[in-house]
Amino acid sequence: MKLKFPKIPSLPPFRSWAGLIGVLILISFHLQETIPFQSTIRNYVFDLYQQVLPRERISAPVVIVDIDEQSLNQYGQWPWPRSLVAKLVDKVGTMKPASIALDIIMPEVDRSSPCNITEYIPNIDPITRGKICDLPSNDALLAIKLKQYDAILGVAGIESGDNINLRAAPLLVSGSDPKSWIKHFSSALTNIDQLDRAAAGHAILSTEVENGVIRRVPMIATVGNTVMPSLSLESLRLATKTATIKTYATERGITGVGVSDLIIPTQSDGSLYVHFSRHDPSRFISAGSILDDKIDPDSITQKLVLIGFSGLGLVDFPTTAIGDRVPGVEIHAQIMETIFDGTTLLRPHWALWLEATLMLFIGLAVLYLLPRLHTHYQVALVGLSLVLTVAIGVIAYQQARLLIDVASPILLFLTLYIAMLADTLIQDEGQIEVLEQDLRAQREEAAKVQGEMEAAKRFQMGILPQAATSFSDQPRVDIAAIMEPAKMVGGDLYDFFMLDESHMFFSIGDVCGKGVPASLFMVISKTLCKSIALREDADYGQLGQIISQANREIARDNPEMLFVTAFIGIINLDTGELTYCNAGHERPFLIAPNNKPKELAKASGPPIAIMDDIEYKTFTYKLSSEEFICVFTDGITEAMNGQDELFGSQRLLDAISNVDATDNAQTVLHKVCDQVHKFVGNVEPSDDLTMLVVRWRG
Amino acid sequence: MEISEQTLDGNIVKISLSGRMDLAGVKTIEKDFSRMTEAPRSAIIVDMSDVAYMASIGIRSLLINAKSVSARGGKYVISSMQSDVRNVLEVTGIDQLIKVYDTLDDAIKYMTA
Repeated sequence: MKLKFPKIPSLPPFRSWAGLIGVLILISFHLQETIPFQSTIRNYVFDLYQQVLPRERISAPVVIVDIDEQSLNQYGQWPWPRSLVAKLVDKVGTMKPASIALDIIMPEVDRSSPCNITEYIPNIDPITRGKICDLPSNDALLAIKLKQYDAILGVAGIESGDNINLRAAPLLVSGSDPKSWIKHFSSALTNIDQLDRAAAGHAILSTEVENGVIRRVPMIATVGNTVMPSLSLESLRLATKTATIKTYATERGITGVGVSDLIIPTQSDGSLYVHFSRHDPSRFISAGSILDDKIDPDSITQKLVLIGFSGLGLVDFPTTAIGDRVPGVEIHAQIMETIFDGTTLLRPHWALWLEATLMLFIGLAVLYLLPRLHTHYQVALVGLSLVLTVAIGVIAYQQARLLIDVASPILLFLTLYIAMLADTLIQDEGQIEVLEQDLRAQREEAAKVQGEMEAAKRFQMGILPQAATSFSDQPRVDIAAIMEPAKMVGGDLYDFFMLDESHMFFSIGDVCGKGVPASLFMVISKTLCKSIALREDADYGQLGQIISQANREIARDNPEMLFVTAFIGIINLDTGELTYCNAGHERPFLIAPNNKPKELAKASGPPIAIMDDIEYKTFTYKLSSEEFICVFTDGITEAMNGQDELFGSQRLLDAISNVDATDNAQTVLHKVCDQVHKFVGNVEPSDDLTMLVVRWRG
Repeated sequence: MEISEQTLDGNIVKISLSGRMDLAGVKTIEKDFSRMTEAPRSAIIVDMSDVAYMASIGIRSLLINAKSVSARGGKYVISSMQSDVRNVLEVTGIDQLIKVYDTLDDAIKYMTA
């Protein structure tokens, strides 16, 4: 199908430049990431990807040993004696996991150690106390187990406070120094030194919580001057039995972290967007069950073990990007799963540029393409662009686990499109106003023309003689005439006047067509006929010759090829002799009381003005003083009612057939007009209604 | 109104009219009617079997074209008129100016004679 480009003028130059500059400014803000609320919207889009298509768990490399409600019921309230924790670590350790990490911070010494108990025993003898205090403390017992199984302990970063130095695995830096990019904590909530020293791994447990939602977790962060790995990274280091944590960075920021040969791509600040799967209870094993030896060792062997809480009241349950509320330890577990399966998410450094390119294309399309398109194509194109943009985002997420922000281009698009529509509306309003003015002017013009047409109609009516006044001094003539013009000026005419003392001239005519040409033709015809009839040399007995002469005059200048049908008669008032000529006109009726209507059937020739060399024939008829001559135009016989029926000559005959001695020309005329009006009803007449009734009174 | 043309044997052009030949009707066919009677066509039969009504403006339309055809020595006849319409033609005396035939065959016979 060929695209139709409507003739919409392109935007005026300053408008289109302003639009383009606006778009470019917005894109530069986007590249600098300074658009307000953009990060909120972006986060929402990334959440939406994960909510619609959450990660499927492929493998289960992580087991969470969960100090849950059941364990607390069984082994008492938290904090447990460290000896019990030591027992738990020992039970886990004997099942040969790949690593053991504790998502628990122990900042104070255990006050339930045997020696501490003695303080609560009144009057204890010093020997017994000495013996009890010789027993290893609970912390010492846990330290032994931590050391035995190369366990990992974590710290929680604190933003304020003095810089401290912590133990951590050495860092192997590839490329730039990562410290300037990564999350920094001045201080940290740490474990007591006895335990810290015993642990083989040291990790930072902190996550990034935005409005209660966890989306990103730093894979490395500095605490004071020490670069510390996350719990997941440190677990992998110990599981792979390597000594160092590796970082990879360019001048733009960190590109990844790793252990051994494993490289985990990260954001430039060393954090990872967590690729969430749904909360899954099968990740958890109750600590109580392990302490009770109710666990198949295979469920722990070679697994990355996280020991943490889910007991109510012990921890917060942060919300994940997909809307689940999970214990914090599960988030670490999920990160480790994605690293293990290679399904980590990444928002690549070029994403901003890709988004900027999309924004530019969309901006150009809205500014320069859409305004030239038909609305149908506009809507289709807008829909298609939206779907395509969303598809780019979804496919990048699903197929390549790349996070592309499609909301920003779409928002730009909608903003621009709405602005464009508003602009169009404003312009349209202006155009409507102009059109309304035009319409007003046209109406005024039409009213003026209408006024002039009515003036023409008045003039046309004015040149028709009035029956009541014309022959008031002629008792031998009884005459009545009517012409009801249709809405437009028409072409009907009638005329009567005295030629001399004893000869009365009358005529009726119908010009073909309507409107101004017909009315002008009517005036010319009437005037010429009258002036020729009134010439001194006119022979009233040879009416045909008078008409032939008039015909020649009228036909001579007739470029519109109009013609007029006419019936012309001269009555000799002394004798009652009617001399007549019928030039293609309806045959008049002769009616008299107690007589059947008759037609004056003789035809003299074709309508006037058709051919200039016609010799019209003259006929005569001897009138009685009872007889009415009814001459009419087809406006009577072809008057139409609402059912498209014509009045017809039969109805006309019916209207005039019952005249009696009391009737005169006026009453006969009324009879016909009444019948026609009754027949037509409210239908607008399409033709002039013209009729002439004349009687010689002897 | 509707108008159509058909060329018969002997270069006779048959123009068929249908509808009401009043002011509005004539307006719709006026241009086509004059085009169909233009030179060099010189044998025209106007078939009016489907014309149920004719006002004076219809007569004018028939006459204008008749005049232009006969002015260049051509033949122009009307065939198959309905009686009411034929009556209009007779009342106005136009049947004296344009030949009218009852059937198409009669009109063709006249043309080929």
